[in-house]
Amino acid sequence: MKHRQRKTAPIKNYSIEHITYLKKQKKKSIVITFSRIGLLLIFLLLWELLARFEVIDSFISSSPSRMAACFVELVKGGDLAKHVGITLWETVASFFIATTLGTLIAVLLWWFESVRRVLEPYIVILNALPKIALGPIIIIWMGTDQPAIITMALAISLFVTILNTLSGFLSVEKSKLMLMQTLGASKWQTLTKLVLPSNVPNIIDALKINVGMCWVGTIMGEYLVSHAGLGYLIIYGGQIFKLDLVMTSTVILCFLAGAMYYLVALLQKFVSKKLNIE
Amino acid sequence: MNTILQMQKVCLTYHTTKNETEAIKDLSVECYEGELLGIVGPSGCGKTTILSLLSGILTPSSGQVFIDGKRADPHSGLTGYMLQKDELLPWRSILSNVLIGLEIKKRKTQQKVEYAQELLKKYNLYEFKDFYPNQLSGGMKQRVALIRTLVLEPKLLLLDEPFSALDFQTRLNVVEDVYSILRSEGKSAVFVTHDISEAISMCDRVVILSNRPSTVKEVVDLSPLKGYTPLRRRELPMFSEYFDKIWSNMQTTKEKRSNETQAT
Repeated sequence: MKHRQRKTAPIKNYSIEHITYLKKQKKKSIVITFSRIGLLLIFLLLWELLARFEVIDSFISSSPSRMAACFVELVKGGDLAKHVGITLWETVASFFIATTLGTLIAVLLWWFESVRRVLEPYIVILNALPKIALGPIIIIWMGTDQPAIITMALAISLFVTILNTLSGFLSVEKSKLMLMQTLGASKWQTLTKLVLPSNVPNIIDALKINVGMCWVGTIMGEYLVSHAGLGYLIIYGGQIFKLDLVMTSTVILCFLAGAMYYLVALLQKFVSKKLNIE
Repeated sequence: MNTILQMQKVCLTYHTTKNETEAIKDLSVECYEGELLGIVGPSGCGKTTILSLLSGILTPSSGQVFIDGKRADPHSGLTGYMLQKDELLPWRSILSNVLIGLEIKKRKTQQKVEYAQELLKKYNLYEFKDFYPNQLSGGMKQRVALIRTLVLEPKLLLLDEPFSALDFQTRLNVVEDVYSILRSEGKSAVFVTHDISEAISMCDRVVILSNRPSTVKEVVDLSPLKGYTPLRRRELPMFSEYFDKIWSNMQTTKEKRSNETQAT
């Protein structure tokens, strides 16, 4: 019987043409990395210079050096750790609750078709509703503390999770479902051996969206009710017209959100490799 | 010879909210032990439906289907279904794909795993057991799919155009492989296809179906071809005779339909 060549184990001795190609590609990626960093540096430099020479008013636009001073002040006062900690905790908590609960509800809706058909319009409407409108209700029901903030974050992220995950569950290939049928698989087996594993990429994509959603929800919640956290710092800084504080907090927020997204992307890479998904 | 499969006056009607469609009408077919039975018919005549009935996924509207004397049931383990495409799960290794049926039927014992490995060895796939489906060629994947079916040791194999997704050259080779595997394992099989030459090259007997609602139009006995492999069969003069016979039979099916449409 004939064998195809194995597609693993790359050949080591490339042609000269291929080596030139690889070099070109490598050069290109180096240029891109430097351009990325360069863009940021030029932006900061320009900002700083314009503020220094009073082309822009650093009272309302702040400046990199003022932000650095503000950052040092926050760290020294011990405030930064507290505010970052609180916001991070709220975000991570709502992220985990939204993901677990959302996936669980999606599984239930997949399992019970009639329930799904009954609830579908409600979920779609709740998803379409601008959640900030729920602000007053949330404050009255959940109080003016962390539970209210987490509820707000959940309101924003939960329905998206449910809808995305469910649509992934429902789009499993018909022929694969047929395979499970012909093997006599139970519903539970179909779920655990086919639907869930084939939806891992979908669920991870939902995680990526959720990271963003939970940050939106947390900051929005902190705008509404909080006494601490980065969202609080931004609102407070705005109220006392201390733009250095607003800008510094925003930059910290950028880093945190980016880092969390990066973690999820790492997880995706790891799981994809483990499950052999491209 | 023992009958492994009996379809008695089977009818099946599909229901949707808009329509009801009579797919199969008074279909009576038998398959004997160790026989490769081909079912050919014009496209859309409900060939896949017949296999679903045989596997027990669908229940006939009237009439009866018996496999080895028992009513068709997907949990009985008497039938093994091979689909059009390999349907290997990309996140499972080849060995793990082969074992999925045993896992589902909760029959994954050491002995069965060894049997699976033996089959993989026998059909030159053992060295790929830890590979993933995307690392294998189409023909190899289709053979893995066959082994996944064989591991369950079904009495009757149901093949639903299992070569249609392959390119022509791979196809000829895989037909040859599948034929020799089925013969060496001494399996009975029902092989559904729209490809006449494929049916002639593999089967012992071919049932020709009519247009919808499908029923048996004619049965062609291919026993003179027995003992020849698919590729050898294609070289025989008899091959084209059988081809013409089945072809003209299917043509009259079509003409009848066009006459009918003209009349209405």
